[in-house]
Amino acid sequence: MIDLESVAKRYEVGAITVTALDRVDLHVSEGEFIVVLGPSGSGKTTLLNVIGALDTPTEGRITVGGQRVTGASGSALFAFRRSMVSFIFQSFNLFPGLTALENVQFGIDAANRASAEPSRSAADVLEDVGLGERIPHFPHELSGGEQQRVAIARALATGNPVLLADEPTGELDFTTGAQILELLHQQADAGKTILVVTHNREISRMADRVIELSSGRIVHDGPPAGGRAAISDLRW
Amino acid sequence: MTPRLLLTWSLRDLRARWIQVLTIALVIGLGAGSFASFNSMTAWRLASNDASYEVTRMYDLRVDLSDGSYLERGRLTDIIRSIPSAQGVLAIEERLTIPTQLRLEAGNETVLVPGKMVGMDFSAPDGPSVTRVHITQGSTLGPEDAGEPRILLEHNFATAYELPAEGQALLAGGRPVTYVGHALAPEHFFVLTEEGAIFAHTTYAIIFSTVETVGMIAERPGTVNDAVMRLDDSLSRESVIAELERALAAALPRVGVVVTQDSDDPVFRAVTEDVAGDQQTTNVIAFAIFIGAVFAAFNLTSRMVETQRREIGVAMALGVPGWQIALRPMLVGAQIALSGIVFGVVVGWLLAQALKSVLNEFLPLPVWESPFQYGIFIIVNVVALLVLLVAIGYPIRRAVGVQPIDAIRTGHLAARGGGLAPLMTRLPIPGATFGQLPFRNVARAPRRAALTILGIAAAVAVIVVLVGIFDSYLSTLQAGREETLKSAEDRLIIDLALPVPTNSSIVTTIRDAESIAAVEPGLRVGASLSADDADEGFEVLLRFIDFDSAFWTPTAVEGQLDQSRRGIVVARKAASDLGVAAGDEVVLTHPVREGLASFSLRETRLPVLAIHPHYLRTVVYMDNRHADMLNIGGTTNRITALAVPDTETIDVKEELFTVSGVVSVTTVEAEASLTEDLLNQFISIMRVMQAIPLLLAVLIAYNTASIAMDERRREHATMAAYGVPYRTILRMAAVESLIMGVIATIVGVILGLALMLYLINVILPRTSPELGLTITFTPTSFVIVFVLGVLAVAAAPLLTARKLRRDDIPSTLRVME
Repeated sequence: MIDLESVAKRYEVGAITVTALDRVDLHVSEGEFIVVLGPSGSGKTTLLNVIGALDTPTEGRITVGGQRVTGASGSALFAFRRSMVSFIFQSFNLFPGLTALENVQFGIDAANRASAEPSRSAADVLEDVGLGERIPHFPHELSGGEQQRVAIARALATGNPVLLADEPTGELDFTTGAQILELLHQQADAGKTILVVTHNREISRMADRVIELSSGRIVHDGPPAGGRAAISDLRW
Repeated sequence: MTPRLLLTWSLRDLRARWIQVLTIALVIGLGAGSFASFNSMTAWRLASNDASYEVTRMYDLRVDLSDGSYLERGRLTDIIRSIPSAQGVLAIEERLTIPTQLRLEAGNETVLVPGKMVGMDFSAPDGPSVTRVHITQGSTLGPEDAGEPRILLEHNFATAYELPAEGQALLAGGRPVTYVGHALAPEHFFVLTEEGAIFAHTTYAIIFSTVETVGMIAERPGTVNDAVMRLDDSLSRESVIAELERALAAALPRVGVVVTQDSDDPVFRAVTEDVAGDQQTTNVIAFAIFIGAVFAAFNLTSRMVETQRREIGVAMALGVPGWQIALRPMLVGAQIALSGIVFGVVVGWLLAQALKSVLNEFLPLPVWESPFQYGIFIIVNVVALLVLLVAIGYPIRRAVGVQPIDAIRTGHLAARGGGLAPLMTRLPIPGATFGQLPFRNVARAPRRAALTILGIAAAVAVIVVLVGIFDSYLSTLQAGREETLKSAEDRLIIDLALPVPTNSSIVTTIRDAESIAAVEPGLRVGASLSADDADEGFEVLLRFIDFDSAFWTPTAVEGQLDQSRRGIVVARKAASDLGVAAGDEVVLTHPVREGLASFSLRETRLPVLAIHPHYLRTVVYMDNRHADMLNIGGTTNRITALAVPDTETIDVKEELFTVSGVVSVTTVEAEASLTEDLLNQFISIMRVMQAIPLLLAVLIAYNTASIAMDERRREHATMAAYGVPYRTILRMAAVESLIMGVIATIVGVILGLALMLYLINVILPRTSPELGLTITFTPTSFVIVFVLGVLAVAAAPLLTARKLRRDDIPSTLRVME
């Protein structure tokens, strides 16, 4: 589903060149649940951004779902994001002027994919994430966990095959965070490809595969140490 | 925190938003600048008026004989000298004013216009001592010119035709004269015809000469028909007027005499009283602009303080006192206000220069005093600064008034309420969430939206006032024009110097002229109209016409033109001012012939037969059959004529120019167009003035859009992350602005119409009581204002497109708060 070949990303900060990604090679299969782990500044968010076409690599080649991301035009990248990837953010980034239902509907409208899954309405997706009772509420009327569920529902509603989550539990308490992770895991089970970026090593225990970054390089790529843990075994 | 750090920090805050700061400073500058410049204009006009009337020694009192009355020179002076307060009369001068025509060559053009000749006393070496002339070109007249065919041309007329200082001309009857200079006189700083046409200098010539010369030309040597005087300031004008009226009534029982003061002179009144009226009008406009600027400044600083919320919270958590925390945003606000004031001075100075040149062109006074009004600029700008500081202080006070934890909190716990957004959930809006978002964004922050809307509405209101006033003028003039030209639109008006029998040789000559096809004799006399004997009333021009005319009769919008009844037909404005309707009675004070060259004044109660639609209340009609009430029945001094088909007006003018006694030949079409031409010139100036509020609206809208773009960066970045194209994001921003633009324009139109009604109904009658404006705001103007207001505001977000495209999406998405 996702292929990165020798991808590098360098920033010029004054006279200094900062290497965020350094010749990264990566292959991700459809339906995988991957946790990208690493300390601050290791390049994990940059990796997520270049996969999601929010950022362009300095060199290398990226292909997602058979679509070549590198070298595509600006408008092609917008179209790519509409049809291929959906983002989930640490601070949710819900639209405060829209209700929970409308935020999810936004995902459908943005993807402009009315015929893809005609039976899945925004309300259905909200039901799926356990927020059927919160449909008419505005973001400020929801708890943090509920807001993140709405954000996940919005990403799911697009029908895009790849979900990119940047520290999705960063603002949440343990119980809520665990519920969110379980929800994401269910999506992987349903066939979505999930990449979760976190600096929390405990979270990586529940992944199918852990990619650990340090100074822009992949220093570990494989199943979590000690095997995949159940959500109930996690502590942070 | 040291003052230096505070200042540096606040300057960094400014730099971070320099475009918005610059915009808001310009908005403040437009508000304060227009206020200061409009008030400077008032100060200049007052100072220039005083100086100009002093240098030309405008009379304090004037004794005016009724039309057609003359007295031998010296008689009026003797009567004035006989009153008890005579020692306080500093100077008296007698004059002779007669109607005439002037014909001269101006370049390749032959100018042939009606006018009047004012005979003055040039016997003293320095000219007349009361109501002098101010020479703008050429030389003045002196004692040696008494009885000589030498004249001075009125400055506005001479300038309009680019005439040299000296040249040759012909007066009515073909009398050759030499003009030796151009002159301004206080009664003619702008030219006003007896018909009430203003700024009529291209079609009406004022000619100054010696009283002896005018006497010879009028064939009334040694006579005068008015006297002007200056009084000692210690004298009560009212008591001197009373003394004069008693003395004149006793000495001249059979002559109608009116004593007036300078403030009764229509030009003096317009020049001096217009200043107060204009100031009220411009103050309303400038105040609206300034209020718009204050709202915009308040909005911007509120939002700037909002962005510093966490920093304020951190400072509070560190125990920094509230007043110290407030210093930084206050400093930012003060710097914005100060920048605005600097702009205000620049804008004000530029506007003042423009206004000065307009004033100079339209009202060429002998003395123009236009020093920079430091006092006005200081007062306006200090007030502006204080108002702005209060506007800035309020959001800051609110920001430091919360609990530190509320200020510091980030993420979902800091999520703010949805404002009025919940109310919008039931609103069916097409376009799915992309269609909903702009409405929700407006509703989400009602206070901010209201401030923006009020700021833009204030600017729109100013545009509405300017457009509405001119719509009202134009529609009123157009209605007057249609009424005048509704039949026999080519008819000519031939004025005679004196009433003559309708079977006299002069009338026969006109009737038999080759270029004339048909004539209808009539009469025109000055009179005054009041509701009852005690009412002071107002002056009118009474026209005796044939109510059964084949040419033209006034439209009766109320009542009927009844030839058989002795009654009067008054203008709608006159009826309104007098509080009468058709069928009611009014008092007409009119001249009655007592002798060959003397008329007395008499009051006659008359029923109002009908009301006509002309906009000037001075236009009054009676039927010819009832002219005997003036004791001049069977005479005429105004003939309505039709030219032979295919004859040019100039040919008629040329043919009748040499007929002695004919003082004016004009087409009614020319009369109807005169004021319209003038207004067209004013409109072009007002179009420039409209640019200020329009610019203001665009600036406010741009700033709002720019701030909204900043505040919604994360929302826009989220949309971009979901693949929503920039053009869709911009379209949503434009729709959001459009919503505010529509609401602001509606509010602005309502506010503007209310202001316009106030100006037309309350302010205008004080300066132009003769004018009955029909309040109009045409659909075209409404569409123009709506399109300008809405489009300018809706298009503002497009100016931020570059900013949107340049935003770094990943960085924006990662920003916590």
